[in-house]
Amino acid sequence: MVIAQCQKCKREPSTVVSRKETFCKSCFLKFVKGKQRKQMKDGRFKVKYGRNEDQTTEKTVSAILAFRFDGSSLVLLDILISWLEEQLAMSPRAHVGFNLTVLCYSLEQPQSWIAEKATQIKTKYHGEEGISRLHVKFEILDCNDEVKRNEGLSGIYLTDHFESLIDRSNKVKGDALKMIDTQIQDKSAQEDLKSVVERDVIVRHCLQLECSILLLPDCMSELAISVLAFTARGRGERISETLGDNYIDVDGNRLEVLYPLRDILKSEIESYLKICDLERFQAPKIDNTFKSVKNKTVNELVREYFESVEPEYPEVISTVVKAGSKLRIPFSEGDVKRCGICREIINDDPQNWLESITVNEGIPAKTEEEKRNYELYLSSIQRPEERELYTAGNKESISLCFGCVADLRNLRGKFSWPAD
Amino acid sequence: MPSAVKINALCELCHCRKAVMRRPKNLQKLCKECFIHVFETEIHRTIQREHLFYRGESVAIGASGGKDSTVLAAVMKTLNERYDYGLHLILLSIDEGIVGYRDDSLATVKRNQSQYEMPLEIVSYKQLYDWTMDEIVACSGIKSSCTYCGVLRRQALDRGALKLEVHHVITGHNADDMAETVLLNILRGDTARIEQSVNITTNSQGSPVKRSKPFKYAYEKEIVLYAHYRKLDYFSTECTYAPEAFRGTARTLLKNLELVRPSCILDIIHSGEQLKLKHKRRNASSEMEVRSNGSVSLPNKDGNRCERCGYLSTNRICKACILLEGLEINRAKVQIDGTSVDGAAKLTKTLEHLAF
Repeated sequence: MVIAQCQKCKREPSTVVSRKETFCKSCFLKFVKGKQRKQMKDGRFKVKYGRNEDQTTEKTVSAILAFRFDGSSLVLLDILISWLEEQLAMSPRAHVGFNLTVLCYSLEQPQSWIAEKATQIKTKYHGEEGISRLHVKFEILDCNDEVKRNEGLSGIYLTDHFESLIDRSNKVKGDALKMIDTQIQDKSAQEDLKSVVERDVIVRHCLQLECSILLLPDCMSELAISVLAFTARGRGERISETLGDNYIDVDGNRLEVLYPLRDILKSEIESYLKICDLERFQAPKIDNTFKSVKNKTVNELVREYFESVEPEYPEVISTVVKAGSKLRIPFSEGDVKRCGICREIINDDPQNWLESITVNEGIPAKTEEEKRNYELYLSSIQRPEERELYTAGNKESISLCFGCVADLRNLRGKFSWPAD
Repeated sequence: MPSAVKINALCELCHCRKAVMRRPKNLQKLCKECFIHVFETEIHRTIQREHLFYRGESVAIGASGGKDSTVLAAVMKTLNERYDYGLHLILLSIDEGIVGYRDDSLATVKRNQSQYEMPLEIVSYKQLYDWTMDEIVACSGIKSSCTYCGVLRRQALDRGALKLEVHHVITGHNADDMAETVLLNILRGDTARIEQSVNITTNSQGSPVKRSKPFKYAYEKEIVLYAHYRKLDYFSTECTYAPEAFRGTARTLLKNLELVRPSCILDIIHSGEQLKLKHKRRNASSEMEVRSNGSVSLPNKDGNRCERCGYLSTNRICKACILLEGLEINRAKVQIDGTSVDGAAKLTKTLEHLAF
């Protein structure tokens, strides 16, 4: 068997094939790192020079890495740490170009698992001493705790006419993440609402730490999945926010969001993990092999779709990401309204949109039998728990975006959520 | 005495008749009467909201004999009478020349003509282009059949409408088709079309024919159910020339998504309405785009005419003329007597009639 040569250095035997090119280990790592550097080529992240650190402190920006223990997070952390090491090694007067806070969290794993893995990762990078020399800090985030810190959960209702109401008078204490599982049956809606919690917790934490740059580890394949998943969930306007504009505005604060791995494919992430022996730090993956289509979520279906078309149409992933980055946020007229659940800007009123395309009036009873059936129905809805759904009571109106209405559309009853 | 109906088995709209189906659009349990009522009323509301027609307008219904166009003809006739739109409705069919498929579906259209008492006009590819789809497939292969058919049909519908002196064609494109187009435009990175993916009406500047899609928000499954409950006469065979492979993958994805989240078709249409392109920096009026095939786009994109056929085009030569030119080059110079260019549909039909 002939072992192909690396097409970059033309010396070493190749170990990785990516984008129809053969790479040896070191050339492949250099190739991946080059893609990350391109996304962070801004002068703010470059090495700082000075006699001592105090001279550079003011100029050094702080960035937060959302670290969710998946392959992309591990690769991005490894690349950033090696970049900081390179910066320090450039000259005796060289100092790191940026301070990095690694925000460790997981929506699936217990806090003990997160703490243990974070310690193992720190050990790999020469322990506390090694990482603090590079101005890297690890922080462990409990998403549940962050949500619980809110004043409590309010009941949100969606009527048959897509009117959204909130009952703020009876706030209850509870675990919002667990509540999602118990209240929402639809797995795709669960997945969507959990991602809302995840994003909200991270963004608020960044603002708490007065950090203005958020590094998200999503690679090109993951971004392409997000584009199609947002589209399928009725959250088309989120595409431009994720890929086009690079900024998130929250309560008058602006947070810059960067995707340093946006040019890297999932297969390249996997090769990197293997080469650098990082797989052992990953959170366990859910095996979908024997799941029926009906039991899958929107994200899982889109992921499988890309995996199935990629061999025949390799350009499709980059095409989707490029198309997404050409979009802009549609302008909303008048005062900006924000969704009471995900806090996204509402561009059009979902109630109006859905009402205009859905008729909810049937044909009235005509025969005696039909009239009798209708009487029976009327008497059945007099039970108190059902009446509560149809009467306004202490409820007031709340604005929801189309994506959140779509998630709650099949919900009968109240949805407890930490709404403002 | 009739047996008592359980409360939870009643229609969720009228609460007085037994539900017979779960509405694919929102999973509501409905009786047959309420379903037909909401289906027709939703189409009516779409027509009203979008101001699709004006009183006294002549409208051609693109009729293929399939479920969508048959339901469109039936619903338009019903609504035109019920709400007194004052429209003059005409059936307009295109005969692509697919022996064993289109001839059968045209027979259905002819039956529809007498059922709905509407005039019918049939325009054939052979008359317009001197090619049938069977001949095109024999010449260029099956893989690109949808490309040829799509480009030629669009022109044929416009030409047919003008022949009838009609300036508005309505087609049976449904919500599933719209959602599929949104996904395809994203997957192909077709930014020129992304913003227009879900437009209910397409009317290029200078075009004499407007096109509308009254079924923009109607689910394909509901169209089938409507045809079933109203016992409509339609032709249910798919075109025998394989659908474009990449479009097929997007369709499969959409069907899978619909299975896990039935609202996703409307959700995708809503997303499509929100997709807006960033403003281009270049000055479009002073620049010309040279395409990969060497064709040059004209500066004023709307309202230009093809130099050869006079049809609306963004290039000097329209797409249909370019495709036909390529076909003419490859046309067989000599035809062996007795050989037929009839395609797979004819063969399938012949085999169906064989018996031991």
